[in-house]
Formats: sequence, structure tokens, C-alpha cells
Amino acid sequence: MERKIISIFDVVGGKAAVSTEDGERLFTTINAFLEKDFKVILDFANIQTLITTFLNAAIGQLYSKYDSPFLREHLSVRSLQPEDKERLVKTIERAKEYFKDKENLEKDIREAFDDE
Amino acid sequence: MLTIKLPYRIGSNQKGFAALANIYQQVKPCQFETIQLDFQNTTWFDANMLAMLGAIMESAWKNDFDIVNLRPEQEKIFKKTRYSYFGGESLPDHYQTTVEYRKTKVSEIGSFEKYLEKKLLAHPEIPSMSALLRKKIKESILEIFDNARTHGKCEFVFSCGQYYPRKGRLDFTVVDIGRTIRKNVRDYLHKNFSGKMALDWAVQKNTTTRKDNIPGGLGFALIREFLCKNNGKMQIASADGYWYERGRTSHSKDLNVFFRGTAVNLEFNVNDKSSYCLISEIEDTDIPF
Repeated sequence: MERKIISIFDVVGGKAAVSTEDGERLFTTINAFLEKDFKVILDFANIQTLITTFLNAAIGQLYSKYDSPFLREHLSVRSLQPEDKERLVKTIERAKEYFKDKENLEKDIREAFDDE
Repeated sequence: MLTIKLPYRIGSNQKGFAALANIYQQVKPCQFETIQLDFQNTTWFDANMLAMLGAIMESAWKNDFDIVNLRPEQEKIFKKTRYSYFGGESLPDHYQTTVEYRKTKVSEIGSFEKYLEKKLLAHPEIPSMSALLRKKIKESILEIFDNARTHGKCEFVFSCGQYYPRKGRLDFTVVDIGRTIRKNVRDYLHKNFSGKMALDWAVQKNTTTRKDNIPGGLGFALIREFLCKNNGKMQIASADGYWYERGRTSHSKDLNVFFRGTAVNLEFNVNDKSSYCLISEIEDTDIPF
């Protein structure tokens, strides 16, 4: 499998990965390589600020198109700050839940608030 | 000319939000008028609440505002924040207790991030915080900023901060004049929620009004988790609702007046010595995609 390393610093043009727009751009880039069956390595070197809005758009959104086994095989990260790993893990967990059964989840949430 | 008398105190609390929302209600129908904001009775105004006053004045830009009877000590504080009413005129902040007022286009989150770094986190008077605490504070504020962009559908975000050295507290307020949380939740759930019910729903983990392929529902939860450990505080005023949380105790109330926007106040404990690195042992290769 061919490999593609994507520098997040390069994508966002600095040390802060904070905007949804940058996240969307990264999503488009990752998606283009995944469609060609590349192994994509996301390099977070020199990224000092990372928020969920960026991660949701860039990585969470991947779960709308790909399942976990595929992403485990085709996607990896490196040089992620230790404290940001927790944020990424939570983003991934949330994305899986979000797409697992989006309709049912929305229905459950509505019903949970029905009594009020 | 319309004269609005401000109350004796504008603090970072429900009363303060309601008082400013009440001003919003009065200026909203005005066009091409002179609006006098009379501070004669006002003995205290939390500098961070200038974010909300600024947003309100901006929303009524077709009018002329006059700020009158402002006490000299308050005028000094307003000028230390470079509050835009004074044309950006500034006074030296010898004790460095304010964080500059700023109006930022929602598309400019990058420049907002630099402002936080320069004006808030590099604040010389704030005690040396751990790098992780600084990072958590910045990320929390940025999440709120992006929420305003995504959900508020607004043009600008207004922000201002105040540091209380003796309490070791930093208050930072972010305000937008845009779609309220109540409006977003009502449209999403198709239920006639009140403002406080909408806030109760919106701050829960895994709830989001997004319908597209970008997941949401994590930002508020992470901020709440952090503020709980930090012994900080979060308050939200939006539409006719108010929500507050300190530690694990939260409550919601009616604001009793409608605010067509969202104001979020985050209070950080800057003396916090906690460690925020929870799962540092995880290897890059172990990320569970």
C-alpha cells in the first residue's frame, strides 16, 4: 500500500489547528488519498493548539464514509502531543456514535426530553 | 433621544446578563437616534462584561451612543481594555488586570487565537500557569468562539476579560449577536423549548443541533470537564435562558428578558496546579480508529 504523509502544520499554515474550514480542507485531502487506497499518516509535529471543531471536521467526518476496520488499516497519526491524544480519542468515539445510528440517536434524544 | 440608566452593578452573573439584555431590548427598535447610556448609578462594571455591551452597541449601529456619567475609575478600566467606544484609546494597565476588548470576524479564528496568546495567556500578572493549563484555557475559549460561528451564524464575536489577582481568577466573556441556542434547539427538536430548557439540552454530552456529516456534541462537554477539575465556572445567557455551572453543580433559570444572541462567561482558576494529562501513556499507534 502506498503511503502519504500529511503535515497538519502545512495544511493549517501554523501551530493552531482550530478552524472548521481547515478541518474540512484536511478531510478533503485525506479522503482523496483514501479513495486511492493510500495509507495516510497525519503528522501533528509542531501543532500546539488543537480543538474538537477541527478534529470533528477533519477526522470525525471520515466516519460518514468509512468504517473503523478500514480506517484502522488506512489511517494513523504521529507526533501528536500526549494531551491531544485524549481529545482525538474522544472525537473518534463521538464520531462513531454519531454515525452509528444517527436517526435512532436523534429520536432517543428527542424522547429523552419529551417528559419536560 | 433615548436615555437608559444602567443599574448600580453589572457583574458576571445572571443579574448582569439580564441588565445588559434589557438594554438590548430597549435599543433594538431604535434607528438613527441618540442613545444615552447613563452610568450615574453604576458603581461597578466587570470589564469582561464589556464584551456584551460592545455586542449590543454594535447590533444597534444605526444609532449614536453617548456614554455619560461614567466614574473616572470605570472610564480608566474601559480604556485599559481599549473599549471601542473610546476609539481604541488606551491607558496603561499598570496592574495588568484587564484583557483587551476585541471584536473579531468569525472567519478570523486564527487571529483570535493569536490575540488569546498575546493578550490573555502572556499576561504578565497572571501567575505562571503550567503549559497544559494555558493550553486548556485557550482551547476552551476557542471552542466557544467556533460555536458562535457554527451555531450563531453571526458576523462578529466580541470578547473581553478581567483578571482578579487576589482571587486567582480570570473571567473571560465571549458574545455573539446571532441565532440563539433556543432557536437552534427548537428548530432541531421541533419542540417549543424555553431558553433554559434549550440550554439544559445543549450542554449535555453528545447533543448537537448539527445535521450534516460533521459530528458535534463534544465541545461543551470537554469544557465542563475541564472547568470541573479546574474549579472554574461557566455561565451562558441566550434568548430567555440562563445556565450556570460551578464544580459539578449546575442550574438553569429564566433570564426574564430576551437576548437575541449568546453570551458565555468562563471563569478560570489560574492557581490550579492539577495535571491535565490523563491518557499520556497511549501510543500514536494505539489510537482506536
